[in-house]
Amino acid sequence: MKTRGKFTILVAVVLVAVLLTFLVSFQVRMDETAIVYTFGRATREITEAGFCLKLPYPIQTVTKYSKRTRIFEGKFQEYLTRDQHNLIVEIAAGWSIERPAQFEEKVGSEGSAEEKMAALVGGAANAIVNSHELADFISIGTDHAYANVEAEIHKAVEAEAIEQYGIRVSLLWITRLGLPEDVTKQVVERIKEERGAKAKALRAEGDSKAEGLKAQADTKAKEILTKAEAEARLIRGEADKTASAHYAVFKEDPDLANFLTSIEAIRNLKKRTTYILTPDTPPYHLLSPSLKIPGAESPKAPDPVPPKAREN
Amino acid sequence: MTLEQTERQLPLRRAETAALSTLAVQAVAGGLALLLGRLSGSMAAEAEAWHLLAGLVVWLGAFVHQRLRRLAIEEGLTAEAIRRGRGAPAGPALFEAEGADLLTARNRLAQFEKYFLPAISIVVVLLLAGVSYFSIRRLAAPAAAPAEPLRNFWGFAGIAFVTFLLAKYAAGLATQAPWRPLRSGASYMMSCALGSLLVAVSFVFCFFELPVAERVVAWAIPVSLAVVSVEVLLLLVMGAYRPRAAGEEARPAHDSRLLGMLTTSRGILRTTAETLDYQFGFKVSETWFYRFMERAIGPLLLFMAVTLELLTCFVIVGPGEQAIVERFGVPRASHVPFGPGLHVKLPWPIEIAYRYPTARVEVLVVGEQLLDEPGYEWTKSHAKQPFTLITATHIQELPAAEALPGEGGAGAPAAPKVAAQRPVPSVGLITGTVYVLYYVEDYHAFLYNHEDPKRTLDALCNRELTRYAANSDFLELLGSRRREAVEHLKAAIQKAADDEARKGRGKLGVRIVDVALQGLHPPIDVAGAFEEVVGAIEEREAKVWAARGHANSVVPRATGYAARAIAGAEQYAADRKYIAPAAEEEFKKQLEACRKAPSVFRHRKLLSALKEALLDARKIVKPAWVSVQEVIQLNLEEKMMPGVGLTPDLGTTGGPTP
Repeated sequence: MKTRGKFTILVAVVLVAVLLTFLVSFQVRMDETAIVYTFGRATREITEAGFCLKLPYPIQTVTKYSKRTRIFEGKFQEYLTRDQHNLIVEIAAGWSIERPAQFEEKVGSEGSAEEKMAALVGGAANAIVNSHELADFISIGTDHAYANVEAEIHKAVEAEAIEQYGIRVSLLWITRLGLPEDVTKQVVERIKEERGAKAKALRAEGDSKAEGLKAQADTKAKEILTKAEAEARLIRGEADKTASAHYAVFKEDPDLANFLTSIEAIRNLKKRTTYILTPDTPPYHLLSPSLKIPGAESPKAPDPVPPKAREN
Repeated sequence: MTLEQTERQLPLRRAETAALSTLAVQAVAGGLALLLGRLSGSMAAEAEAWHLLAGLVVWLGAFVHQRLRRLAIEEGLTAEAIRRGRGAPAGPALFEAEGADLLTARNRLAQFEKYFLPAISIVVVLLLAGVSYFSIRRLAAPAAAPAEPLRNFWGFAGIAFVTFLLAKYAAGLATQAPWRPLRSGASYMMSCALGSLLVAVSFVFCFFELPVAERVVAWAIPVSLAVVSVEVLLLLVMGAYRPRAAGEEARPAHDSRLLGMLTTSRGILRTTAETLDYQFGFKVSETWFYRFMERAIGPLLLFMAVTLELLTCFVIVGPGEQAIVERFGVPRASHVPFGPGLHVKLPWPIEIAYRYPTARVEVLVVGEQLLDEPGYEWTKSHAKQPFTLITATHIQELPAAEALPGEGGAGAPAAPKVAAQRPVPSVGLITGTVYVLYYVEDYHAFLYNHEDPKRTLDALCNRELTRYAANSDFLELLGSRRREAVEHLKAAIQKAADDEARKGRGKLGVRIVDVALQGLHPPIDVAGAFEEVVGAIEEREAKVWAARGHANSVVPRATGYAARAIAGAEQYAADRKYIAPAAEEEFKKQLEACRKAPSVFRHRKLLSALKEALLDARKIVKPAWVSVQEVIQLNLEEKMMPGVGLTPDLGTTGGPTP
């Protein structure tokens, strides 16, 4: 036989050997459990990881199940609490296949397991939530009550899941809380009103403080001015009292004293004042046609404006 | 033997008869398959039925092509007989040069091959693609197991048998050059036979309650048809750029090379070679390189396979990565993952490596999923999906002074207390986004404890966030306790991820680096009310500051006025103090002067005073008979505007203008 032919046969033998190995063996990973079915009947359960042998298909078949924890996420469901409050709760649960044979028999697939979990969790949650008040879920500083509710639901689900389906529920959490839509609207309205009241109170507080401050300031200012006026009056009075001793001299010629005071007053008149004077006022009396200057010819006085012309 | 000689010896009509017969059988088989498919509800059967029916176009094309070809041959033979009868010299000159227009059948054949064959190919492409598309679309919906699998098995087995026989017969005819047009139909029919056989086998599986086989075939048929339609399309396009040689036999694009392998005993390499020869117009298959490849392809593929297998013996763990190597499913090195570097392991499938970038800090977003370019204003939506958390709220007590009568204000009678009843909690609503930053600390736990550790972490973070919010005060969470909330959430998530409650059996294997509460705010519906409060606070402060400003200006101003008043009084006093003695002395002297010349003194004093007073003052001297009320002042110095003229000041010293 030629070398090429031998080589071809060798390759074929290797390929067939590999194929046969795949047909009669399988691996079980650390996070898996396997069940060997012989003509459809479960004959061996393998929980330890490693290399295993089996008879070729269709005599024996192998189904592997992951031992890892899966998360079931329930839907938002509305419940009624003991004190008659509607509460929407979403629950997540971690589950894994504890008894593969029982799981295969009672459940069959992962999708079916999710349905079973939904029923178990929903039923348990309904019973447990109904036995608690709203304050066990929502209340300042009652963390332990929230955890207690979770623990109660978990306990109820765990026992039934392992007994009926071979499923171990290792975790159970309330992942969301909500309120029905109508209640949410009412809460929104309440918060709005509360905030509105707060805003009004703040504005009123502002007005109050501002008015108080203004009134205090005005009072103080008025007080200052009043005090100053009083003090000024006292000072002036004292000064007048002191000066009056010197004014006795004016009694010697009161007429002259008053004349000089008037003269002083004229001097102190404002510069931009308009004076309407008559020709009798000195020195304008000199302009009067009736005035005769000694030693000088009298100028011809202008004709007085006839009353008729003035009327025009 | 030349083509012409072969054509003369073979019965030319046999191929047409064969084409018509197979066309009829294909139609009957397709109808029967469709009926069985509809009755059983099998998608695989229906897909195969449409596969069969689409073949009618191929066979119709083959029949017409074959008929035109026969007519052209017969026309050529007749023309040659006439030429011989006239004693004309042998050769094609008469009909190729001068009488070419007379060869109508040959021209029709040429026109058909040039225009109609590509058109038929396009129709085949559309049909196959359509069947494929609609079949796959139907497969997206779940379906029940087919009914009556045994009946369907016999039906499709029969179809497979008949179509196989006819396909083999047609393929045998197509090996002869004059009957070559049958090749496309023969290949297609063979694919129908194969498809029908697969459907029949799938029904056997259905009979043994393994309907998955039917599902697999239902996928395989449309996918195969899609591949063939792509191939025909490619051949059609490439045919347009192929060099033509005179007298070359036309090969339609719908004569699939892939399906052709079903009817010939030649291998893939030979078929590929023929395709290349046809495409490039010369014998590619006779080149040195091609022949070398033909000899070496087997060893090369084997070498590749061995090399690939050997490459699986090495694991390169990148920076920041860890790897766990399993030998027959059991982790090596007792739970200690391999760090960065090159590692050697046994080949696949004995040992398998799982790598993960454990050092990379990953981000989990909980709560509002933000838009790509969000604005962070409370009153504007910036999330793809609304997310609202329920919080507790301290019951807000109104200040005593503001309390309404009967609400427990000052002086109001105390409300009776019900000690046994728990207060109904007041709830608040809050929304926001929480970023949880983490990295994989324990890759072993991360890989083996949870099916989808990220999903578990997501649920865990939602739970801790919901629980914390439900047990916290709404306003405190919004403001003063946010830092505390971050610390609490970080510790709580870490504790739950470590599964301390169950001594770490369900540990996630992650280390929480940080928890960031971003944009915690009330829902949009109430955000405006919150902003109104903030606005009211500002308004209050503004009013207080305005009042303070008023106070700051009024009091100092009053102080100034007071100082000025006192200063004026003091000046007055000083005047009195110094002026009074001086005035006394002055008066004494004036009195003395006056006594000496009383009239002159007084007159001079008056004139002197008038001189000073009237120096810059406006003076009006009126006659004595004009009263003061009758004096009109016209101010001609002021209010003069260009172009307007003089505006008289109609003000009078008193009284109306006469």
